[in-house]
Amino acid sequence: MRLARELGLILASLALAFGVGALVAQLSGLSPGAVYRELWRGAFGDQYRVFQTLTQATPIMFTSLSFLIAFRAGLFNIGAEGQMYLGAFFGAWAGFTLILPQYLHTVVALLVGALAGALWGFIPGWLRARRGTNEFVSTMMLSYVAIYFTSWLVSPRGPYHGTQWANQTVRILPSAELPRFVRGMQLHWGLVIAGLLCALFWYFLFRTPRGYELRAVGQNPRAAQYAGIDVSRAMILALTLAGALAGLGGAAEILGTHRRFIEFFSPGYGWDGIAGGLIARAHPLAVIPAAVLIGALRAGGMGMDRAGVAPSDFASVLQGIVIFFVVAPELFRIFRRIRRERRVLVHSQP
Amino acid sequence: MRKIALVLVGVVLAGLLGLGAGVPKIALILATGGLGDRSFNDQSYWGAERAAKELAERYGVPVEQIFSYVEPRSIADYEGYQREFARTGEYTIIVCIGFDQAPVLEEVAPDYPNQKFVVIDAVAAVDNVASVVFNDWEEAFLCGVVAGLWTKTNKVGMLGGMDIPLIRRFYQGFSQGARWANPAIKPEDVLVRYVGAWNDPTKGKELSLEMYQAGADVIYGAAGKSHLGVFAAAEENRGVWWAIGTDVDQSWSTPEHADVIIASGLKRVDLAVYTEIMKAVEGTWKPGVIVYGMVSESKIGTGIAVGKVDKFPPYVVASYSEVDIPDWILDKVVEAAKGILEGTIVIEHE
Repeated sequence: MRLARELGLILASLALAFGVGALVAQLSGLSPGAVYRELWRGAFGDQYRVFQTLTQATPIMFTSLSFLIAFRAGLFNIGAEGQMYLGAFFGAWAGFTLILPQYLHTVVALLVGALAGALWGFIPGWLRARRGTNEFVSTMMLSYVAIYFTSWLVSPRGPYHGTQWANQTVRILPSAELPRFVRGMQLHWGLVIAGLLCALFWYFLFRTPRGYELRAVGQNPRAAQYAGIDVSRAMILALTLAGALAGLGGAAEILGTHRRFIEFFSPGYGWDGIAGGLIARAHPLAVIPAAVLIGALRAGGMGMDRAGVAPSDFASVLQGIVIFFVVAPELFRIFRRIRRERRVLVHSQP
Repeated sequence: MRKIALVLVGVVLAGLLGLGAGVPKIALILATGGLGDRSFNDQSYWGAERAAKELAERYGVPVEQIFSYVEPRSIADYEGYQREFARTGEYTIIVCIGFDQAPVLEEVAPDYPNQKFVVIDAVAAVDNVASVVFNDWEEAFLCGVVAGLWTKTNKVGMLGGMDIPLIRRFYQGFSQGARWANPAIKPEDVLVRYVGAWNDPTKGKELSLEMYQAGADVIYGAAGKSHLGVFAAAEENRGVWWAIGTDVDQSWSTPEHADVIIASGLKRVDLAVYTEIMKAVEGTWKPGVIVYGMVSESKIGTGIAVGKVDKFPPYVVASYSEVDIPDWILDKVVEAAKGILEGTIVIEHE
């Protein structure tokens, strides 16, 4: 019943978003019909395009899960972008430094990436749990630290400046590559890993005591504490897991798609994860369709640009409109909840 | 009889369609800066657009049918676009702008052995890629001539991005040009400082001020974004200190400094793009490293923007500079350009 209502709400939001998008297109002097036709074709037109959509959706699944796991514990992880960069760099580093047999190398590099991301989630988690530092601010700020730190690492004056002027590392060794499904397509096994993680985290959240504790802390930390749950530990665990997921996503993106760490490689997958997690209403399994929706908008936007029906800027505008409309109802709910909680807090003060 | 007539009609129709299929198609993948950068991307676009317009006229079809271009928003988008165009097999040639496309292209191009690619300002060692490079020292030589004749202190300087062979060749060209034009300048009067980064205008300015204060009154910048610092430094003593730009007419790309920029070396990316496209259409296209410059097979690709009128196009052309350059200097620049073309001036470089 709740599922049907949520689905209905999302579909209505989508319809509204595309309506507004059409209006904006019309006002910009573009043909809404052509824009949507190319958007659809770019996202689902043939096998290649579907694969492109899934390629774009893969990192978004990781970052959506990252946002979601913290959100379930009542925390906002706004720093998935930075955690992803750190994971991406150290995944690449393991990929070109270590000498290991095939497959094992990939697994190790992925784990190194996840570890780097986990560290970047642990710090704000620890600060939040032990020092009460607002994780919204700390994750976001640490995110910039990570993005520019990795940028420095591969800059001309940094230690891992690879080749040919561009700010990137050398290529990873073939043994560390995350294999692609089909030659000539970018889609790689990261998609399968992401899908499995969605299932795993569903199990973790809803079928294990640790997951229950985490959710209990998210729903009402004080009640959770009275019930004997270690709230600090749950918070640290949630943000560390969030960081690990984003870091793993970054490493997978490098080992599967780019094969080297490139400065500023992400077009905003970390931020997309916030939208993805909210569209999925923080449900791990719903992350899959949510990420595919955002991935489709990205791939479709590239299609629109290529077909010349709209400049690439318009694709971004359209993505923004759609994400805004689909996320907005959830945002209103969150704000309402926060306001209610504030009121309760104020009233309960002696 | 009717059957034969039908077959004939069919043959004629097929012939017409066949003609339609013979229309060449051009794809342009811009660098991440996108259109409107008043530099590389805009120049490349002009070159491709010029070719497309000529071809559209020749085949009597609209330009849009011939010319597709995309503006990738991040390096992560390159592979998707390169494959998108290549896999259709419809494009006569795919032009990739920017050195950071080369590593990706080296992985993509082998998957489409019959597709012709061009990459600008970088070398991708693949059998079906033409890698366009420029004789940078020629533009540097012409800039040296202007500097040598304009200086009142008989001391000039160059700000280089990095101490690497590419930039040392700029310096060698510049130094020889200055001394060719003005024998009073000794080799040690041509100062040089290397910033060590392409995007550090602040350090670029410091180093420029150091050279200006050491007596150099004209400084040539070959340091990417860093040499915006040269212009900023020259503004501090406007009318006494002067600057020279690189690759595009920087009085046009940074018009706020048109009062201190006396000339700009030119790297005619537009001509290279245009020529490579036309070669592909006409069947004379070759893969490998293709050199553009005065001393090259095509005899075009480098030059200088100086003075108010085109003195010797496409080598010595008009600039947007607000500084009046006397005719005797311009005549000497033309003489230098002719000398390089005819081989009476040989620029030594590593």
